[in-house]
Amino acid sequence: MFRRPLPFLWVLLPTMASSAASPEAERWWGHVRVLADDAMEGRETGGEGYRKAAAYVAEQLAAMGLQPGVGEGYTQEVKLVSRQLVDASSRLALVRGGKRPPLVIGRDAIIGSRLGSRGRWSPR
Amino acid sequence: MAPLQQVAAAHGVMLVPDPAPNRMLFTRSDQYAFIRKGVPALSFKFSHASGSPEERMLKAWHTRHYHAPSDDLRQLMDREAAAKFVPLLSDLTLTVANMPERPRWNDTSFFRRFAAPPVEEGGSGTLEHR
Repeated sequence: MFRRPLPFLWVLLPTMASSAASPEAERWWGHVRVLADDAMEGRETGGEGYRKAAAYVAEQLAAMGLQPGVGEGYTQEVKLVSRQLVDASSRLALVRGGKRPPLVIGRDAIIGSRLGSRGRWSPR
Repeated sequence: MAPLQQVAAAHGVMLVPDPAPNRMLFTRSDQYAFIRKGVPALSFKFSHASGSPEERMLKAWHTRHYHAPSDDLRQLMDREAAAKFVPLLSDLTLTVANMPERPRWNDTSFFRRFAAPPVEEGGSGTLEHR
């Protein structure tokens, strides 16, 4: 865990942290603070935090007077596909020199699911 | 990419080819779902000049903080640099939107394989809903 910036960062950027930001920079940072807040729960796709983040963006667009480009609102319904890896029936091994030491999923490796990546993967 | 060259030059930003294509950032980013459906989409990474102390700092940050619990709002942040890219992106969007032609892939682009046949125009200058 590296919770604190490395010391050399402070040496390189002594003025950045203290100087007053421009209104543009403050506005940008304000949006980042809202969207990155723990209240958004990581904005997981399809989750409540995601919905809240989208609502915030729509609200900001409306406040700027931007007209929706598609339909009446700023958001569209889309179908989401959820995938979950079944750890109990998943295996992974590194094969080298005829040996295949097994890997423990969750400890040695994680497998991510990704749409459109079908088939077998093997080293070139 | 004439519009991007034009807008980047106006904002004093230098364009460089992907300096680390092996990281596959373009196909790992959120816009890639659009590309797979044939919608041309861009993804930008902003950085400092190759070999600069800032670039080394960025590499260290990638190793230690990127997508880690420490990648949070308490980090040092160059807000001015971030805000600088907002008008660049809006100018680029406006420039592309006002072009007479639809965006399309370069003939040599790998991603051209996903290109969909153009949907009939609803009329000049209108956005359409597919």
